[in-house]
Amino acid sequence: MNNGTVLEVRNLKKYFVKSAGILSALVGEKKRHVRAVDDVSFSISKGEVFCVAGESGCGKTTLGRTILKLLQSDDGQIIFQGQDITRLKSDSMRKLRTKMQMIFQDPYESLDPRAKIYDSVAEPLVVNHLVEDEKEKRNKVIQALELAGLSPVENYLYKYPHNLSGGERQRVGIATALVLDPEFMVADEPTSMLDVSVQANLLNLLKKLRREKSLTYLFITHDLSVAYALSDRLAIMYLGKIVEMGPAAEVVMSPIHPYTRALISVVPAINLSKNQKPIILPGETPNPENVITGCRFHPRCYCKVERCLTEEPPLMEITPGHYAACFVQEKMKSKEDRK
Amino acid sequence: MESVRSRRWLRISGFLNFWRVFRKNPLGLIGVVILACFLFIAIFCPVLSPYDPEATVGEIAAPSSPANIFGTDQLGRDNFSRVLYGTRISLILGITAAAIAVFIGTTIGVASGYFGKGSGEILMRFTDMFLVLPQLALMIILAALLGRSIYIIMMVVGVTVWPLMARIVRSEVLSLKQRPFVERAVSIGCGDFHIVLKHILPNVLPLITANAILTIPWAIISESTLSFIGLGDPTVVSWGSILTSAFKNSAIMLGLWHWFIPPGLAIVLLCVSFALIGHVADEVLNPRLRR
Amino acid sequence: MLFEIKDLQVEYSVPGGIAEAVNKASLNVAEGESLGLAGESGCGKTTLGNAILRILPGGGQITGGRIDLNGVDLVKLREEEMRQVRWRDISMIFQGAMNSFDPTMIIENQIAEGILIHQRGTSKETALKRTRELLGLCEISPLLGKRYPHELSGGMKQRACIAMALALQPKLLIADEITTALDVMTQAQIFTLLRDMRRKFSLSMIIVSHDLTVLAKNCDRLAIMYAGHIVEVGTIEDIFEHPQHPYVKGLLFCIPSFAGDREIIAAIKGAPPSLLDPPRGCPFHPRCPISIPECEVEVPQLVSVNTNNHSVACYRKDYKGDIWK
Repeated sequence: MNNGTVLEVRNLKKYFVKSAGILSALVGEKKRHVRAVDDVSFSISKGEVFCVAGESGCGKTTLGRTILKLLQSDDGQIIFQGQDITRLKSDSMRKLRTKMQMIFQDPYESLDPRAKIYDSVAEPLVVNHLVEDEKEKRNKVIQALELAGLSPVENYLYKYPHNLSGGERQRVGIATALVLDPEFMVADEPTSMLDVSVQANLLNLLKKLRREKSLTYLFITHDLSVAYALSDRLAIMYLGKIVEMGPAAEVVMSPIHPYTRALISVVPAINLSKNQKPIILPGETPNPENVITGCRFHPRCYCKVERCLTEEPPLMEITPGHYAACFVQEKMKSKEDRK
Repeated sequence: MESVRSRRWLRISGFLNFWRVFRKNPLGLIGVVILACFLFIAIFCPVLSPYDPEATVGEIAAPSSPANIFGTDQLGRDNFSRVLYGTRISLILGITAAAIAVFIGTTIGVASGYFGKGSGEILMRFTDMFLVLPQLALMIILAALLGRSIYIIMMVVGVTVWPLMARIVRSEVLSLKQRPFVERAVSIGCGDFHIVLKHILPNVLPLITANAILTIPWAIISESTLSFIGLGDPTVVSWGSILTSAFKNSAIMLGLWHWFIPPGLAIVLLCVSFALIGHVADEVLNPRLRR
Repeated sequence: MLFEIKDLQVEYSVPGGIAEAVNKASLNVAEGESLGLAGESGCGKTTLGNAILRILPGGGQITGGRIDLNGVDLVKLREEEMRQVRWRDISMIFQGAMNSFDPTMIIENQIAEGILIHQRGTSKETALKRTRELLGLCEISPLLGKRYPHELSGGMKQRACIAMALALQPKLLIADEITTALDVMTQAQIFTLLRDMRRKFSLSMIIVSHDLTVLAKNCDRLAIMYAGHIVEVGTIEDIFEHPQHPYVKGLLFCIPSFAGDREIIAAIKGAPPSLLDPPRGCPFHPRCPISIPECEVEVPQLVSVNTNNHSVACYRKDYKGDIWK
């Protein structure tokens, strides 16, 4: 592990227990686990935009929250800037939080409706005792709002969230994260609730901030076209596991895992340019409560073999830097190599 | 300079918003007007009342006359003055009882909601114990033990109403806890106390206020009820006690409407005014609902 | 031409005044054709859909124009006559329809109920039989039909909505943001189903969405709305390869380019205008980099670009250079 690694996640697990009601408990029904994040490992280097993409229920949102310790993980390790923060208590975590911030998905819900914009952006400074006086606080708040592209700043300082548009609110959310001068940002679907033109502006802002403030991003999204445009490396999640991981351009343009292939083929934006026949998978993403033996994707897979039903494939390096969790693909690749 | 001006404008516009919402709700406005009248009476009753409410100034149970607009009661005291002075007791009683209920209810409700499972559940069971206390029985017992006093009444009403408040507050806090802006507060490093004070409480406030305002009529009517069954404070002039003495002295049969209608009407009017205000209070206090 | 809207005007009275939600909108749909209606939030596309079925929420009114279905002007119909049109001739799947099922009734009963209400005299058995047929067409097994809404996934519920909408075999189906809340794979499944339905029943469709790329894959023609106005209409090829309107050009730039540089050109700045107080003339001119004084005077009308059905509402449609660079 070199100095350039900001975040390393090793075998991270987060399960939710679906508590049975009193009646079922009396009958003796066992509690069911939802394996939201099931043995996930990856690392992010400084300055990189690492994207985790997948459909709803794949665990990407839970992953983001668990990494930021908004949820307590059940197993595995989270190593932030060389420090193991997996079991860190909330008090010690508070100091670290200034370095790792989150951008939330819902611009309508992530700001306190009763707090003015100025107070919302100033709050991180206040609770962490980072400013000495009112003047310094005001300067930092204005700076953060300007960085987030809101100008003229005076128009926004004393308004309430409900006076602002969705895009503006999202920028305020970014400002509250920026005001602490963090090094690492987890962006949880920051543009999925915004219009296309607003989304484009916001994504470019994130790109700009990464350049200007040397930020490292963990970007969570369900939109593969956004993942393609923004990220350096891309990981695809399915039912709590990473099924493919590699350079973003490669994963989108030359996907390996059958799930990724199918997914890419049905994203209209990508499909427009490639114009290939879409692979439409049968059924829907299964309920994460149900345990599937072998490869989690096999019930819907169109190229499975015997092995897939009993053995769970690990992430294997198929081409340099490009990993996929699929026995069939790995076999095909090694066949090709031997030729 | 620009920002100072805009700051002042926003504060003024805050009041304008308040006024605009009230204006749109004529019922709320009526409630405010009625309450204002009662407040005026409560403050200025020494000036407004023609006689000392405790002094005997006329014949016993006299009918309405220019000297005594509402007649006199069974001790010859002027009813009009007594009704005016009764306003004070009703208002003080109502507001204090509501304040007790709000304070206890909010504290326990927020604690229970915020701490969720474990201690939260224990607090809820504790609340449930108080929920089942019968107001009347408690009153009788305490009156027997401590004597009949207006303070006891205030306390009893407060103590029997707070559990309801706690339950309402708890469920609101539970749902607030899930909202993204609370999650955000945690992610920027806020401690529990800060989150409760700055994020949870202000967002629970509209609900508490609306409920508190509606608690006041309950307290006032409770006092009247308790007076009626003889548990009221005999040293204090309250509408309930006036009604009680009117009833006991067969005012209805004797057709002495001026004796029992004014206090009854006063109770109804004051309670209605609070109900109307409470109805509008939520919209006024909740910036999100304002459009 | 099966269906045509001419100069439709829809207004809402809101606390602040009158909002012109749809402003002189004109479009047409041929038999068996699928027209996409695109635009960002607040552009009026949902209002247009609601206006066609005359189900505008309180405060909304059609104040001008014609809605022509096979020669009949729907605007002029009385409510009783319109009730005959709804669901029978024109059917709609609303935004969030999949969440508006009655949670206390099983799916097939809800659909059968609708059939019974519209075709009085039908027996319950006939209605249920028809319902099961429809559900089967939409790939919902009879077993699933006997379930409650909360037991079904989002995709299945949406398919049930489609089945419900097609129950009386309408000629025109309006689908309002039917896949916004669904995963991209489920979205693909739903649109495949719709395509099959279209072929089977020679159904015409108006698909409303904010996602241009989804419409590109599933429609024949596309109409783009901005602030209540239709600003450009044409085939998919026309719009994507030869866009004319500055707003449309800007929107297309917002779609990430998969050609090489992975750029998203955040071209359009600012926000759409308030519908209560729209700017004079072209609604887009405050944000348009090539607006001229003429744009502020009068609203540009839709004019043909070249031949077939490609029209744009812009005074500067002949501008050749790069607008958004």
